[in-house]
Amino acid sequence: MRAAESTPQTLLVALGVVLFCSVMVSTTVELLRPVQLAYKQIDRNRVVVKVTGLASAGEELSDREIVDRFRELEVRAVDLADGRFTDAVDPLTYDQRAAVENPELSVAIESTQDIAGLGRRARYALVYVLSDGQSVRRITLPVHGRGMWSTIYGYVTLDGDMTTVADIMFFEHGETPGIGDQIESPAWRASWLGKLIYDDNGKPAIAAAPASAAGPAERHRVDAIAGATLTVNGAINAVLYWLGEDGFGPFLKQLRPTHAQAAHLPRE
Amino acid sequence: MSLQRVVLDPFVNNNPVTLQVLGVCSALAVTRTLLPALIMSIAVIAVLAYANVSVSLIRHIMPRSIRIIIEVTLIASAVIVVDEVLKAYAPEVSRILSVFVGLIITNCIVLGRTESFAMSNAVGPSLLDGIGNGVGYSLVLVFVASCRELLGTGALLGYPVLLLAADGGWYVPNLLMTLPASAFFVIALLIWLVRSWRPAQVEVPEHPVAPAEFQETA
Repeated sequence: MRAAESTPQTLLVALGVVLFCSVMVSTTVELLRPVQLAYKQIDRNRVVVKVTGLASAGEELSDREIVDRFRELEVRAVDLADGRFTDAVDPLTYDQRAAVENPELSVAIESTQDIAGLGRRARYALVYVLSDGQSVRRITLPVHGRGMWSTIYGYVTLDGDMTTVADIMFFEHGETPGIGDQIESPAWRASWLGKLIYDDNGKPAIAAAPASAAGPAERHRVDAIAGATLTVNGAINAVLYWLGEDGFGPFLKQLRPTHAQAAHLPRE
Repeated sequence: MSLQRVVLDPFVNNNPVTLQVLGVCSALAVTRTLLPALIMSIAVIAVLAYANVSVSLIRHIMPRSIRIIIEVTLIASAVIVVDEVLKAYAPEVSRILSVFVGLIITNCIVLGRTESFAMSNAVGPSLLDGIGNGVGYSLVLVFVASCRELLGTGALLGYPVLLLAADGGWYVPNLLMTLPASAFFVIALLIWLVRSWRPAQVEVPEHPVAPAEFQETA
């Protein structure tokens, strides 16, 4: 038997290789994380620029253009409890996902309220406001909730009436490729456009159903996706939760114009 | 075998894809357009060179009983490093390549070269063999991707080459070329071309079909 075949040698070589490989991999990951995070930021802002309608459909934007157009938006932090703008956190550096982990910046969600399956939510959320001088033309709100396999993240853009969906994009999830990931598809997005989030009583009323089904009124109906019911429900529940009483509901109520009057930014 | 042959042989004479028909599944998946194919090529060359060198370095102390596991561990960590680098510096391409970067681990060319060459050769030749086989794979990838992007979209690397009929030109893109199946056709045609040029590569049929015998039924 060669020395290389003895049990101690086998263990030693295995240990050595594994140690070497793990150090190499973790060093790379650690060194590259800042670059990846910076890109992720631009990537997220790219979604915001698209969903607010600052980029036309199919337009490819360079990183520079993303930054320029993103600056047309006003980024504000909202205190979800009273629905007012707040300066408690800096909108440029605030990380809502990290805040959920921080007991001082987050609150537990009551289980009766928790339709999106989140457990906790941040106290503050960012909103992206597109205004022309005084009145709000569009507002973009981040939403997230449990899908079938993963947490689904998206943005909803509302028109100045604070109920009509101007656009919606789910940009991050780990749902089944080819089935659940159709929540990203242009066709499904299109079924949201022009739909009203709130019913006459001011409750969020979006529901999924096939086009012909007797069920939700057409103005609150979005398409169902065959085989992806849980994912679609997850995405819709994320919207229902975040635009409901526990989410942006109070905030949007203040922005909602009374009759023909345009929405004005509330003062903090 | 001279060092020159170690590098140059895998280009045509002993090409891992056209002669050995290895690594075909990634060649189907990442060759829709040229840019991802180029990035994939660089990634495979890097992984092959690294895997060959590292296996060759420890070939004398490598216990035979766990050598495959050790080879795969070395390859897998190299692939993770490449994947992370792509995510940081070429995020859009990384999204197109998606799982196929990770699947370099299972690319038979890599394990094949470490097993058949690096285990029994010194570091220098192993490095050259890795690069040579990587380039051989890349040549096929680039050829297939160029055909598919040119015929499927009329462009190369996104720059229009053939004027599309939709834009007032003459070329009607062949949409079949944008589907994975077309890579099969292109690779098959390429193998045919190479083997017509180098008839020595044609395999002797293992199970020749016997001529049909006419049997009288009584």
